[in-house]
Parts: sequence; C-alpha cells; structure tokens
Amino acid sequence: MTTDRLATDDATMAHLARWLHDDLDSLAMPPALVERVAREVSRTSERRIPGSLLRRRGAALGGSEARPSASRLLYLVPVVAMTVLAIVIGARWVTIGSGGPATGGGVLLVASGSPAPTVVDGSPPTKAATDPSPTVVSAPSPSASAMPAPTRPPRHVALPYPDGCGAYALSPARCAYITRWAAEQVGLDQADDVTFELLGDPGCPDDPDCVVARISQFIVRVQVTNVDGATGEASVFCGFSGWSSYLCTEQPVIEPHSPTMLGGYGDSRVCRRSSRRPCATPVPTIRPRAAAAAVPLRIDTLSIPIDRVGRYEVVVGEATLPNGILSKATFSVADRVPSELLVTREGVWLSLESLDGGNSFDNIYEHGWRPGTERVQVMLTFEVESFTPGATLEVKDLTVR
Amino acid sequence: MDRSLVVRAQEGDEAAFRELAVAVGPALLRVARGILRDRAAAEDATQVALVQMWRQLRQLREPDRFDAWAYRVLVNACRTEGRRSGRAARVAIITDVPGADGNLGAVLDRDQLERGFRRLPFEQRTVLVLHLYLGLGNARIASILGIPEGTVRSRLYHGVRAMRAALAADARTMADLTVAREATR
Repeated sequence: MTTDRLATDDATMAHLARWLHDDLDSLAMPPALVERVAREVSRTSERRIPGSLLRRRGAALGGSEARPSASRLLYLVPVVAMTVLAIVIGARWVTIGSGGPATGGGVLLVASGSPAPTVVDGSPPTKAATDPSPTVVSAPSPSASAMPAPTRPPRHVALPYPDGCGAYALSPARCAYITRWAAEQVGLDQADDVTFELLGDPGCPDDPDCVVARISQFIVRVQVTNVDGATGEASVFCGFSGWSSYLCTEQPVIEPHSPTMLGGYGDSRVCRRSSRRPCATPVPTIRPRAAAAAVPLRIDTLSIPIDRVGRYEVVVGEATLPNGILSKATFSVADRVPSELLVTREGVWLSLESLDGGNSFDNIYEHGWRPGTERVQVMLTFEVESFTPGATLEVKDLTVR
Repeated sequence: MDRSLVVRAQEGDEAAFRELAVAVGPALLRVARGILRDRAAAEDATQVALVQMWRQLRQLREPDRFDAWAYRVLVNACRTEGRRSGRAARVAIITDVPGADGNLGAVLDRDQLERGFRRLPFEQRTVLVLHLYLGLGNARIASILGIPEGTVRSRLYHGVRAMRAALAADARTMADLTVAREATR
C-alpha cells in the first residue's frame, strides 16, 4: 500500500484526499459553538445601534453607575489586585524586552478587535463607553510630541493617522507598520484607498457586569475604513516575548531559534512516581564508531546579503550526525537589533533536513536513533519585512553536531 | 450561498446571519480542522471567523463572493489560532496499535498521514486542504488567499513532495521496527 500511494504525486494526492474526506466529512458543528457565535453576534449587534439611541441608553444607565452597589465594589477587589500585578509584571517584561520606554511587551495575545473570550470587563461602563461612534479630534503632531509617554486617549476618541501616532508613542515607521498590519487583519489590505484612525483601549463590550482582567499591554486600536465606508478594527495587545515584534516595540530583537535552542528537540514525557504513565525511555547512546564517523558543521561568521522582502531559506552547509542524534544546533545573530533590517517576530530558525530520509528534527524521540550516521542539510530560515539597501544578516558561531 | 440571505445579513439582520452561520459553519469547521489538525483549535478559529464575518460583512462588496470571502476570513483566523496554539500542538505517537482486528495497516496509515501532514508549514496545509478537500482549482484558491496562482501551484507541489518524503521515511521506520520486533521474539 505504501509503495502504491507514493508511486507518483497524483497517487499521493489521491491518497491524501481520501484521508481528508474520511477524517472530516463526519465532523458536525457542535451546538455549543453555534450558541457561542450567536451570543457574540448579539453582543456585537448592540454596537450597530445608531449612536443617538445608544447615547440615550447610556444616559439612562448613568444614575446607577454613579452609585456602584456593594456587590459591585467587592467584585472590583480582585480586579484591582490583578491590575497591580499586571502593572508589575508588565513593567518587568518591558525591562527585559526592550530596555526602553514602555512601548513594548510581548507576544500578541489579542488581535483583530475580536472580543477575546479571556477578556472580562472591569471598568464600570461610562457614558462615553456606551457610545461606539468615534469622535475625530485633532491630534498633537508627532514632531511636537517627540515620543512622549502614551497619553491613553479615551476609548472612543479617534485620532486620524498619521497625526495621531504620537499620542500612542509610535514612531512614524512603526505606526505605518501597525496600520498596514491592521488593514491586513481586517481584510482591507488590498483595497486601493483606505484611511486609518487610532483609538484607545477597546475595553470590553457594553456589558455592565464585565471586568477586564488582562495582563497584556494595550498598544493601539486601529479602525480601517475604505472608500465605500466599510470599516474594520484591529487592536494590538502585547505580552510575553513581544520584544521580537515591531507591533510591540520600536526596536524588535531578532530571536535565534533551533531544535536545541528552546525548540523542543529534547522534550520528553513528564512522569511521576505516583503516575501509572510510563516515563520516556532514555535516548540510546551514541556509538563510538558513529561518533568517529560524524562530521560536525562549524561556521564562525556568515554574512547573508538581504536584497528583497520575503522569506529566505539559506542552505549553510551539511553535517553528519552520529546515529542520527543531534547534540547541538546553535548560532547567534551578531546584531540582534539591526536598524537596517526588519525580520518577522518568528526570528531566525536554524533547521535541519535529513538527506538520508530520516524524520524531521522536531523531537529526539520522534526522530529516533539509527545505526551509523545521518547526513543533514542545515538551513537558516527567516522572513524579511523591510530593509535598507546593503543590509546583511550577520550570523556567527553556528555549530551543528 | 443564498444571495438574499447574505444581503439581509449585510443589512444587520441577525437572524439572517445566524441562518448563514448554520449553513456555512460546518464546512468552515471541517476546513479549519483539516488545516489545524486539532478539534479544539478548529472550533476556536471557526468561532472567531464567524464573529469576524458578522462584523465585517458590510465590507463585502459582492455578496455572490461570500463563500470565497468566508474561507479567506477563516484561513486568517486559522493562522492566528495556529500561532497561538503553535508548538503546543504536538504529534501524538501511537505507541500500541490494535493487531487483533486486522486493522493495523489502516491505523498506521492514518497515523503516518497525520504526522506527515502536521509537519507541513501552515501555507502548504491550507492549500492542500482547499484543493484536496474542497476541490477548489488553483485560480480560486489564489483568489481566496490573495496570492498568485504560481504560488498556489508551488505550495501544492512542495506540500505533496514533503508528504511523500514524510510517508516514505515513516514507512522505513516502521519496517525497521517490525524487523526489530521480529528479531526480539
């Protein structure tokens, strides 16, 4: 069977198609999922009510909001505690990440303006919070602001782009990047003529019982509008390791990755004495004869010229591994914060591909031990988002053995 | 898809959108599951995609192109979901296989396909699912993903070649294991 299905690309495709149909055809939409979508749609629908109606609704709510109930106050206690914790942790991340002003953070936790299920609203809804219609006001010019600390404009104040960038402490280049990203997120990136407005933290939908418990840092919310008046929104929130994303910091750091550098190659099953689950078996040791026949790859410095935007796959050489076991795959990037080069937040990956038909090098147990040696091709992969002519990516101390 | 339903939903008719979601949801879920290879992640991506569709439906200029647009929103949601779940989604290894019912071959086959498919990059998985599961042509896939047709062809080619290589490698490993097992008996 294996031979038949691998005979040609067409045979493999037919085999794959059958497998996909067998696997997916019987999959039904769970009622709970339908319910969740319906709930979200209903919540979102409220935003479509004309602004005037919502303003009236907000005014009606105003009286009770002015005097929060005792239960409401109790509800706020953990929120305040979590907020303090978030500020402390957030400050630490920023220090680790960029060492600069609080314009950075970590991984993108929420995007596309979707009401993330983990977000709970805490701030009592104000009158302004119930009015979804953005108000365009004049913004301080970027030159006058000279990268001030974020001023946190109110939630529904829409600052026009690019003048509003300064209010969110965004440099013109980063602000342009974020707006392009936002357009892509809402599916308007291919539209000819779009305009952007920058808004404050979306908080959460107009739910009086909603509490925000968020540890990610809000950067900016972007509303994209095309010539037809169609709009979409995308928000940038940053958390762990956001220092590698231009969305989260002015100076993104290029992260080097490899199977043995936090790549999970050595991951094994966790087991406890009390557990009945078996522990991972030890990886077989490297045989002396295989070790002697192995040929490591060592490159002191490597300069990769950058001449285009897009994905790069650079074959840097070959190595021969003893018994197919990868002991070390490391390298470093000479300038991790280059000014002439912007790499996607995935960073630079050192990957290995077996030239002897072996499994991928995702995990030592999946890859397995083999008699003799295994030849591998070593590649560096990364994606360039922008560069200035003459830019290079300098890699050093690359070792695969 | 019923054009009038799409138009009504565009005008803010919530009931029409629910009808639309029920109609298109299962197909979206299957495609998401096909791409992400994880049921929970697929449900999350489908939910995000449907809610996003409701929010952005008014941006759709041609209601007749709803299906293509819906798959595009879904693929974007899958990409985000894939990044989030990312490396947590690991290949499940079948350590013991049923032998008594004679279904060993089928189980191993599915397992090999699953492992091979998961190793493919997101872009290749997406193109393969759209082509092999939905039966869409290169031009249609290119328009859904917003990429050139040549890129679709290249992703298909490399995806299939990678699958062949992975399956061949797995087959060799299984053969080695069988020999080793026989030898220990």
